[in-house]
Amino acid sequence: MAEEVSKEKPLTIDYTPPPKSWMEPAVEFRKGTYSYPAAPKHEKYLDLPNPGVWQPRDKDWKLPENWKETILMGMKDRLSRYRSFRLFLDICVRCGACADKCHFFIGSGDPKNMPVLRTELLRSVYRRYFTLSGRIFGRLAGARELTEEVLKEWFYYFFQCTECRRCSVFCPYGIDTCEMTMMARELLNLLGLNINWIVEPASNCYRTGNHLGIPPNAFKSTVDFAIDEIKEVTGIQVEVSIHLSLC
Amino acid sequence: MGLWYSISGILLLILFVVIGTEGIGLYSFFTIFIPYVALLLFIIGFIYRVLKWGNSPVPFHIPTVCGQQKSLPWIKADNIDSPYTTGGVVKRLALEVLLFRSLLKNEKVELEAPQRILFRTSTLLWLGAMAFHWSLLVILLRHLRFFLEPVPSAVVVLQRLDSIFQNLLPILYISDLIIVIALGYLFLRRVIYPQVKYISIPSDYFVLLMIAGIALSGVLMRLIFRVDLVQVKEWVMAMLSFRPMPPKGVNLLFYIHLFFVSLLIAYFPLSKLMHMPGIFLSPTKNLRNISRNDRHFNPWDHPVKVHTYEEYEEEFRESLKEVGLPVEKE
Repeated sequence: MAEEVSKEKPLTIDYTPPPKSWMEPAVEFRKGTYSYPAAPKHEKYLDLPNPGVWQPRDKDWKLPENWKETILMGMKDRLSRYRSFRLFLDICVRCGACADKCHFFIGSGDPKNMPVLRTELLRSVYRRYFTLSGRIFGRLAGARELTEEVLKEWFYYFFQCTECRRCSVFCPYGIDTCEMTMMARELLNLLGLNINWIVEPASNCYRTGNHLGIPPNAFKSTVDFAIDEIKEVTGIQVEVSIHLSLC
Repeated sequence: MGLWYSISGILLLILFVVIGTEGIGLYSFFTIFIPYVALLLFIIGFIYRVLKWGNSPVPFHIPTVCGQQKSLPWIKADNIDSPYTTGGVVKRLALEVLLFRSLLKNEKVELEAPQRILFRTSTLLWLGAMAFHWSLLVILLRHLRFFLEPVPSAVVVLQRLDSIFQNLLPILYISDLIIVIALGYLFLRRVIYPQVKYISIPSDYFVLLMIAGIALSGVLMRLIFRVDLVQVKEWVMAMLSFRPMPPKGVNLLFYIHLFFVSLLIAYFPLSKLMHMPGIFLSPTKNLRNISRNDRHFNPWDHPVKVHTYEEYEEEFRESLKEVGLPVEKE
């Protein structure tokens, strides 16, 4: 399973689940299957917590000392703020209707990309720390300890969701994995586990008003260049006035 | 492995009842104490869980839609798949609750060749779920004859209809037959289909087996090991009037049936069975898709940190001046 993914050697798709139970957290970061973490520069610009330099393939993710407490407090806070979060964690019956509706599952065959299991990664932790049955029956009720391995799994699978909500259409209760993904990403964000594709454009927009991070002088010269081009092709001199505003 | 845990759990529970009743004779414990406690736990737990959901706000407007949103008058809107009136929401929810409409859309993905994918219609799960839930409802309604005196005529009619084939083959109610088949299917799919097996946790099997235990003990009580229904009704009425006494003329199957029912309702609020009230509170199902017409308020309103123009100019003043763009402060 540990092969690198490349153009010559694409992922093979096999829908048969592995023999090992999904309750054992195990995630292998293969090159080409994960997003790079956010650059601390951008995290600092947005005042995001715990900015740091790390890579998913590292053993040590440089988590803050009290990471477990932070996650659990974050979950508690979100459970009280979003009905969707608590409700969707509670009412899934694991009927499997959503399983082959996710394009990440269809395209990878990785069972943890089934919407039900993607949410179950979060749900198992919820059961262990926030429900009576999980506290009493533990694994029998599908409850899991929150460990660093579980966290790595969250990072891998919750950033493999495009929040398209297709699963929600097929779910008899309308359970929306998009909501779950957002919550999990918020929780990961509390520990500084962000991906650069999200944080850099956000920080650029915040700083310059555009996602590419173009400063005003470069923007002006881009416009000037376009004006020259237009003049060259059409012979018309276009008048442009630049008004700067954020938001 | 979870499967074996569940099966042995069920067997242990049966053993517990056998020893408790036939063995050491704790009849009052099983027919009075446990049912009362279970019912109490059910009511308290159910209300607690629903209130807990109700206490968390719905900050964002998130109905699931798969139809045209209501916008301009000449664009035909879909009031069921993208409901914009309360009527539309009620219709969609009713179709969902009564007919399991989402499951009817179900499809199955198959890899035909490495490069070719097939989407097949798949309605078996829908059929199994419908068969199970509807026969369960009919059975529950039929049981009202134990709880109401006189028995309402609607319950009598339902019972007649349910046993309409009794003249042909003197066995059982249609609903009994269907629920056993449906439970068999729902259980087998968790064992046979590798993907469904993979996502199942022990409590999934446990609940199915518990309901199967209830159904089978009920069927057997009707067919082979008959109990005195008049005595059972007397016991129920006594329980309801809080002057409990153990039932007479019943057998071991009755104790198992009753114990499993008690266990199931006590377990109900702790488990995924809460999907029953949950669907009515599901924000993706019970909101109208009117985000363009009305403002949906976020009750806790996250404070947003903004980046002001002053801060922007402060950072880029030189760059602005360099290309002759106006600045507010020199």
